[in-house]
Amino acid sequence: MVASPPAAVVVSEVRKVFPPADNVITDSTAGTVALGGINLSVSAGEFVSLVGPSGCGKSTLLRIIAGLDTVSAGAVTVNGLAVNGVHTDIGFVFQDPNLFPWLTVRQNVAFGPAMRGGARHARAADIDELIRRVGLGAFADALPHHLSGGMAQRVALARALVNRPPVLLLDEPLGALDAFTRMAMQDELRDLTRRHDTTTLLVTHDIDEALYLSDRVIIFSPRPGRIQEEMVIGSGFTRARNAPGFVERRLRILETLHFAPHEAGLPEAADNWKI
Amino acid sequence: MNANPVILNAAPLLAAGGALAVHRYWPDAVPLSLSPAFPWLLGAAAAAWLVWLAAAIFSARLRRRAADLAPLFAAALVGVSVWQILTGKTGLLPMPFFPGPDRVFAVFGATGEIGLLVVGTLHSLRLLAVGFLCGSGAGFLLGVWIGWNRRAHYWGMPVLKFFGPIPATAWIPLALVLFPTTFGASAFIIGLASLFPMIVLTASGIASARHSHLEVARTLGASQRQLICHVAIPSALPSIFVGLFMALSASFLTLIVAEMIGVKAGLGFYITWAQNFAEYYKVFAALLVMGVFFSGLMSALFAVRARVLRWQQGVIKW
Repeated sequence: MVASPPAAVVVSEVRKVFPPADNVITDSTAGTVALGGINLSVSAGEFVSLVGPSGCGKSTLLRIIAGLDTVSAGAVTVNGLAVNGVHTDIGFVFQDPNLFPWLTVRQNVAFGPAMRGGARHARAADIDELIRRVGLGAFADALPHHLSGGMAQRVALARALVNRPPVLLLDEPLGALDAFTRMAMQDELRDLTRRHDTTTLLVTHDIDEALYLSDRVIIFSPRPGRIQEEMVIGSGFTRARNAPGFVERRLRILETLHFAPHEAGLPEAADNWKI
Repeated sequence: MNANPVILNAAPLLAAGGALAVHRYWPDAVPLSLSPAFPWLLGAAAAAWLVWLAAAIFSARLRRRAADLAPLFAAALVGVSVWQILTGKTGLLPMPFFPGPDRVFAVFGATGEIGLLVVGTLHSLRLLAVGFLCGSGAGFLLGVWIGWNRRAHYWGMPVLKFFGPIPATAWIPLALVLFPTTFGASAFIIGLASLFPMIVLTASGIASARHSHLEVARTLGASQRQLICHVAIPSALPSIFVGLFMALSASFLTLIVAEMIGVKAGLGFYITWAQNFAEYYKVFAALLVMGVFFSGLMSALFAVRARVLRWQQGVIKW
């Protein structure tokens, strides 16, 4: 793939087979094949989105990279080290904010550093700064049940970023938000990841979101999940939701996913229909 | 309450006055207690209410609280008066088993008797503290272990299911053999009574800690030990407090049974001892002390719970 910057995440020949739900003794092929041989290399600082039909294993791939799930075959390395169980080179944001309800916003964000026993006073300023940056300065001492969905997800993002992980894994983090909050959060997400050159993998169902945020969009096939197509989005790409290039790319992704008939989006096809 | 505020605030005073009038002017069917404790107590209740009302002039919070409590306070005084009518004034309830409030409250006026009650309460408190703290502490640790560790769950649950439902008091014969002193045996029985509810509720709270919370904590670098202390135990706290509540109730019951059977001190012992002399007014006095003592401990537990589970406010009520 891209040769110049070092690869932050390398996924090679990863297969994942879930055992059948019943504890019947069968050979492994009887289980559900979630991932059928994935090869993917993500450069340091790159923003990559994974899109595809639900159940295609993109979340599973993210969990494998985080070490929350194991591979059935193949290997994953993060920053050159083989992934073998949960490791701390990643930050993970789930679809649900999953804030600890017994901790305040500040304590939630400080959870990672507290677990690692870092010098508390040195970190306190960092933590407050991060809370301010996600726009929750006034809510640092609030408890999670006082927050709206969008605010809670921003706390979750700050909590994942506080350890300055080189790799950020986002599993549909904005999926549960309303459209306006989602667009505002997309901008915040882009700022935050650019600022620290964080390598980011985003699983999303929202094609616009993928195009708007990513350097590269990976399109998965239905189960068993395989990489069906990759779309590199150049740096010259206008990141505006109404730019012509944007709309054209969205159509191409929809076609790949079989959600748009081949003819409808193309000018020649429209001409043919007229004649 | 939609009553006229003046009548509402005056109600406890009227009730106290009524009770005093009943005490003084209603002829007795059964001879009255000679101790002046009861009228003094009614007077003290009325005076305390007046002090509250005076303070409420300056504080809106006290005013609201007074309006809230006035009907209850008045009803309690009326209840005491009805009690006196049913016993001493008409003799409807047979003596000496149902002494009137004048007799019962006279116990608190007698210096020797109040001393015995205070000492008894302290003895009960000591036995309860040793038994309950050891039992619920051990129950908490075992509950965390069984709730977290699969193997501990596998081996522990059948034992719990088998021995848990046996009432702690059924172990008394065995406890008396195992321990050289009745204090030790009683503390053991009280501990046993608090042990099982604590294990079961702690374990179920730990086991139902949200998987996603544990995963988040793992990605943030929490070790196994930190997962238990910083995620599993905090999320189990609501359930742990239910366990503490049940353990405390069970240990009250066991405490009194132990004191009535073997221990030679404490409120339970005082009750049996008074009963042997047919001094039922002392039995009632001890019951009143027990009510204050036990409900005080329960309120203390609830206050701790309200503080610790502040994050949960509005989620669960009890």
